[in-house]
Amino acid sequence: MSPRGHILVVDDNADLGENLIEILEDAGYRAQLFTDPLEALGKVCPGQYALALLDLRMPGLDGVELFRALRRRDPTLLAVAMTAFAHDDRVREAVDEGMLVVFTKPVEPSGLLGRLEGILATGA
Amino acid sequence: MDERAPMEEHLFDEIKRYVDFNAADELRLVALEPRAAPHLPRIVDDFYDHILRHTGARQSISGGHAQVARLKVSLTHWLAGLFQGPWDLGYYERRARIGRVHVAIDLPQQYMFTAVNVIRAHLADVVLSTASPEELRPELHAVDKLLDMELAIMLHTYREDSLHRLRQGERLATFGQLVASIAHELRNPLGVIESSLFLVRKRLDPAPEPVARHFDKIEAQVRLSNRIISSLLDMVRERPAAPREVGADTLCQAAQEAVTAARSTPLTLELRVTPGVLVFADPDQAQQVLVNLLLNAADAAGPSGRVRLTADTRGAFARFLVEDTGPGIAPEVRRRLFEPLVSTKARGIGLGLALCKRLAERNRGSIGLVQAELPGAAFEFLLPLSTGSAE
Repeated sequence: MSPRGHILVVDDNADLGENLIEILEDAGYRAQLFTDPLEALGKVCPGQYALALLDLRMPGLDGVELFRALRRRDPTLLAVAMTAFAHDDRVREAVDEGMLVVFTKPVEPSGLLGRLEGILATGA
Repeated sequence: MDERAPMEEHLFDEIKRYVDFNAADELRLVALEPRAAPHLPRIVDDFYDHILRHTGARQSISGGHAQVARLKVSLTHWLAGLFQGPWDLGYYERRARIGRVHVAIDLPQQYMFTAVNVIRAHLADVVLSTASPEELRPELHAVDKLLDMELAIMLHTYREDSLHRLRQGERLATFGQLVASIAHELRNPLGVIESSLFLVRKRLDPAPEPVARHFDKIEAQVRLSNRIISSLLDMVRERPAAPREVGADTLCQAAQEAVTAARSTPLTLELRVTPGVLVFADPDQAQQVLVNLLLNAADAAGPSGRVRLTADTRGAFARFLVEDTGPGIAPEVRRRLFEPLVSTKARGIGLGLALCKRLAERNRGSIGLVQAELPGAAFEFLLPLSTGSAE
């Protein structure tokens, strides 16, 4: 299967992150995990990823801040958010900032894949 | 909770002693009763005219004419009770209920004084126009003492219940923060379990029979855990109601479907829904209350038991009655049944009914334990009728 797009996953929960990578790779995507948002920021190059899947609450740098920083380097980067806190202020910030979807954890895998496919096909 | 030493004087005896209410007063009230009785309906009418003329006091009566009619019946009983004695602890308990009702309807305390004064003036008129000259003064005193006692009881129970409410609110705020953070933290491990299960299922497709069954169990339990977390979060989060007009039949059917879907064992549920009843409430929240009540009833009824859901009207309210054939609620639990973290179930966490109560109140309704036809517990859930329904 030819790669369908390169996805960046940043979640400080390594077990969940690894599972997400496996689910994405099974679905034919190339995917890379960072469990430290600051490390991700240091290593990601512009144009490297089509889409970022970011946890909203992380130590050091939250998902919205990370997205803001990544997007300054790569204005075309698409992003979706994941959070265990559906009623957090960060959810509204994420949407205001231009993240396309906010998933509430636990994220149901087939639902996630469906949405990502749609987003990558249409860019919205 | 009654924490006084057993030797200590009961509050009612103390009040009686304070106002010097004695056996002679009791005899005078009994003697006054036949002369006062014919005036009671007029006093009651005037009493509510007085309240309805006053903007502030009127706000405590939200149920329109039907509610006023019911209140008039209660007040007539209350007035008749004034003269009937015996003025003992049973009397105190009966009268104490009225203070609690005033807390429940959020009646500001100052209105109790003015309201009792309306009654005082009327009863004084009765005494002045009917008592013999030598009995005039002592009879007026007896009525005064009695009404002072009534006020003292009302204010005492009012204070007791307000404090109780306040403490409950504080307790909930503290627990709420703790509960919310635990609930959120649990979503991460559940996410790992769910996604790992998804991956294992893909790797082992088709799974041999016993494995597939365990997969199903894990999935069902993860879903259950998520539901528990969501109701915990609903409980501690003040989600405002978004009321709109919705049919009682729609709510009942949706609740029935949700309950059937949530239970692995079948349930004998009898629906008795009066057609055309429209409520004004947040449909999700109303349904959540019904589902909670029905699931509790189904648990209590057990596999061979029955559950009945009735929907009809009571004055300005739609009434949903959930009855079961289970063992009923133990008397010692009844008063605290709707407090958070009180449960009658071995595996309950005691949030269901507390959540129901909050949701009912958020929708300007109420919930309570009542006596009904079926032998087990019966819960009455009231929601305001939409103005589109006939009262």
